[in-house]
Amino acid sequence: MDYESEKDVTSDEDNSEDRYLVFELASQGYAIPIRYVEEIISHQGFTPVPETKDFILGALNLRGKVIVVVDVRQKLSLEKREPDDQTCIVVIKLKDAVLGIMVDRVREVLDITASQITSSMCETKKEYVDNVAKINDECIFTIDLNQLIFDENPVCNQELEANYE
Amino acid sequence: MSIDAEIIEGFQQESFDLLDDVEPKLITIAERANEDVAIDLDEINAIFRTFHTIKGCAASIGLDLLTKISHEAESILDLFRGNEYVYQCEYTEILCETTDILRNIIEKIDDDDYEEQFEEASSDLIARLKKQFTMITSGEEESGEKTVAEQQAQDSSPANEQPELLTADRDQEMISQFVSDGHDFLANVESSLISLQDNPNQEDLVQYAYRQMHSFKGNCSLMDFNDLEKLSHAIESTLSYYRDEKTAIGSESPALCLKFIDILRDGLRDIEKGSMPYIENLTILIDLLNENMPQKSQVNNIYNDNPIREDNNMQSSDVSTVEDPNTDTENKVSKETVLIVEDSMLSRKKISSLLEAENYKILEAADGIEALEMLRSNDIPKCDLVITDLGMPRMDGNDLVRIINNEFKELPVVILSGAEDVNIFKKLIGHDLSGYVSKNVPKNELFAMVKKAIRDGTKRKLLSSAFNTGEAKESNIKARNDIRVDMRKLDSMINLVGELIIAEALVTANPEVTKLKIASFEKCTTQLRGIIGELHDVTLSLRMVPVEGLFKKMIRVVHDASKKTEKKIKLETFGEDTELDKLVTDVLSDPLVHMIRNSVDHGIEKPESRLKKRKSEQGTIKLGAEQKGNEVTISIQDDGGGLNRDKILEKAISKSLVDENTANNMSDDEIFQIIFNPGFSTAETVTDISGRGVGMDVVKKNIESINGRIDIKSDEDHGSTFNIRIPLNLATMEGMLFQVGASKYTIPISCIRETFRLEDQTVSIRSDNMEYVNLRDDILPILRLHEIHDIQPDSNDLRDGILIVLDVSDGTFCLFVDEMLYQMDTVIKNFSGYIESLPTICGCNILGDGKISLILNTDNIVKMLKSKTLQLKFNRS
Repeated sequence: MDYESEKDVTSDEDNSEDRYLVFELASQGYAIPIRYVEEIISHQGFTPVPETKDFILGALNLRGKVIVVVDVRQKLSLEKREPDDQTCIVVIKLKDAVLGIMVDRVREVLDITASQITSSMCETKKEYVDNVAKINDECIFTIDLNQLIFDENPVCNQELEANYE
Repeated sequence: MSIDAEIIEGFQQESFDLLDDVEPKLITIAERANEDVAIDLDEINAIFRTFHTIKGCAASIGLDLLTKISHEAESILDLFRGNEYVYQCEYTEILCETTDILRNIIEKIDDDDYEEQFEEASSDLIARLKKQFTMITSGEEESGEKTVAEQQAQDSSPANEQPELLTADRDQEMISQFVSDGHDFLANVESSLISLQDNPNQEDLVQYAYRQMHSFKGNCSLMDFNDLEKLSHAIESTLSYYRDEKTAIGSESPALCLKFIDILRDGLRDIEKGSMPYIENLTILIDLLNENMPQKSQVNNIYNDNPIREDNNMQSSDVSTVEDPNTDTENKVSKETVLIVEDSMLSRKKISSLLEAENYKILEAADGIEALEMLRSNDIPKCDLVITDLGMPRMDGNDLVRIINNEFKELPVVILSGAEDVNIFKKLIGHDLSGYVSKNVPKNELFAMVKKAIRDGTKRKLLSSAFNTGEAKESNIKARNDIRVDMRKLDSMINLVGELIIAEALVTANPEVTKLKIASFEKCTTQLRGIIGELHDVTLSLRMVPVEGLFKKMIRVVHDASKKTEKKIKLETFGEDTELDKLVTDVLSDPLVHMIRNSVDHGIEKPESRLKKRKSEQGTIKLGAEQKGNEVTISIQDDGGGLNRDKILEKAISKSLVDENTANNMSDDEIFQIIFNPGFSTAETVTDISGRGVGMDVVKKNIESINGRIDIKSDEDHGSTFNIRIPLNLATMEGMLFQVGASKYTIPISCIRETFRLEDQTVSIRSDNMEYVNLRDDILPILRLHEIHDIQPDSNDLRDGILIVLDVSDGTFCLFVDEMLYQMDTVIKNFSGYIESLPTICGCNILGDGKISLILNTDNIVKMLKSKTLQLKFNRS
């Protein structure tokens, strides 16, 4: 089973380099490379995890696996919003970590070609946004997932952390 | 995985095992040589065999570099197997270096350019090995130690000359390894051959079978199982013929090979039983194989089909194969039975007396009818050969041969005739005859004829049974006691069992179902839980390996380090059979090396100062393992100078790791723990072994990564002891669930001393807001979990909740929680990689209802409490 999924990943990588999952946060479209996406689950309750930064919403049980959910709104400095029935958690796998990111709504899977990438003509470029694609007159930000997820240690109390290293 | 990758992986694994095994042996013999104790030849043989195996395996998969290196090492060792040379302890150095290089190369054989990478190192090593070899062979003569060698050889040579018994020189472990590998190899060859019968053109299969057979052969020769080796050589040759000629393999050869593989298996079984494998009619079998190969004259033992050679020389080529002293039929006590059919009493007696002198059993018959009666009768021993005259009363030779050919297909017949009348032979055309001898044949020729004919018959019997596939072989294969399993498979199985436990809890604790209170359901679930629990135990035990291997590595470490520091050190080990998780032993390897080196370098003093202190010149390091309860302790004890408490403190203060005030109040253990700080070292000089102050902090980190910890005990001038304590079980624990507000937590049951409700115990509050409870004159700090994790509790009043007294390694404290829930076995989960560790939480577990509870890291809480790094958010309004 493991081998197969590995194979899938590599083959996916070849032809889905430009495929993106588009989701919405505060009515703005954002895209992440589909190869990082493991699955999409509907919103469910979290167990709060103490000693973590505010952008960690909590942990949830994904079929026997405990994953941590990141509040992308907070990371992008967007206002807090109560989850509704459209709220989804996109489970992603980055490096060796599996985690969830909470988004307002999942829209579609899109092919974004190089020609659709435009220089920043819509709004100002944000910290975690690496490109802007113009699709059907709408600006979609592609997110630098590595930056978004790993730029900041999710654990509070860095000083303590340093003591343990 | 392709066949090749599989072979290489197997080779790597096996070679590492072998190298791990051989190093301690090299060191032992070096020690013996040093102490002028006679070295056990068994030891040398064992080492020799190891290099030989590596060489053989490497050669069989075409790894020339490895083959060359191990060959050189092997030739050096070979010198000491005889009685001419004496092993000197210096040789161990270069041999250890050889094992290092071999190990490095083997690690890298996956790389395409591995040969280039190691070209320089290996050619240098080979040159030095060669030099060593010549030095030994040329220089030793004058050294005058030969007498020792001879003496020693006399002591041990008798053992060498009795290969019939499995003596101690093949130690039991090697034998079982050999047998289990052998079964593997044979099974592989067998399955390839079987597929070859269906698809005769698959070259890679032939190649694979060939390699496997070759490896098997190599192992046999290594273990001195000559018969097995010879037979497997023959099979290998057959396979190599098909491989080289690219000829489609016929149907007969595989069938024959399969038959022979069964014979080899029987041999392996003999070995298992402890007897020397002996293959009956070995040469015949080999001839048979060679004969079956299509027209390949180059093959050595090819059998010449000419029935009678006119030359009198018995050593002539067609029978040369018989002359192998081990297999020569003449050596055997019980001989084949020969039936002589001849009407003339005189010539009958003449032949029978000749043959009787050669130990054959003789039956006599005066004519064909009598002969047939004897053959058909059950009372008479089975006949192996019939020698018959042609002209006889009642039934003549001609008819007899015809009947025998029909009735006893496998029975060879030799015609004995006075007159060499061509006409008689014309009559016989079409009969299956093994040979023909004249009545006045020379003695030797007669014997050769008889021998050949009997072999002929045996071959026929074998052939017919080789093709008799319907006959199921009696299978008494002793079950093998080990199999190699991919770690990934094991891990996924362990994970699955972990999930099974959760799923079981989800089902049995389902609130809807439990509400119904069905007695039969409860009964079933109890049983289910029992089975799952057992399954879980078994699964976890799969990963357990004895620490023996780990300890063996340390022999080398001590040897190298003591050499460098010029100290005399003996390593003693105990508790090698203590088992630890494979993962744990892997993680432990580096820390152990570090700590052992430290003990050698800093712990044990130089011989001179040891003598001054009236200790024996030789230092001792004791490395041991012991299981106590749910914990394994690995201890490293040296009888050196011990840790210098004052020096450590001084250094710590100068490096401002501690301030002087706290220093006065520190316990010994706390002070010793300072050495685990990064960059801390009291060594004045940095040696290339240790002293830089890196290392100990890595040691601690590694050990903490497996939830272990290190205790240090030290006694000035008497040595120090490092105890590494590792929890036996990494993935599961018995926990107690409790609740604070809406959050659920678990703590290991092992650290709970007691729980109580606050009644008339006095609680005092210190100026920094810390509360203390007086529990039976024990003053214990109270930690409110809701203050640590900043959550809203059900109640702030200490009288409303429960106090749990927790006993951990560094102290005791009370944890204030809202409510105790229940006790359970849990599987510890991590946060799937994103969050690696939290200060006071070491993981989480999934409860029966699918909710998550957090597992408290009680050890860390105490540590933080003591170091005042625990941040409490007081809310006691």
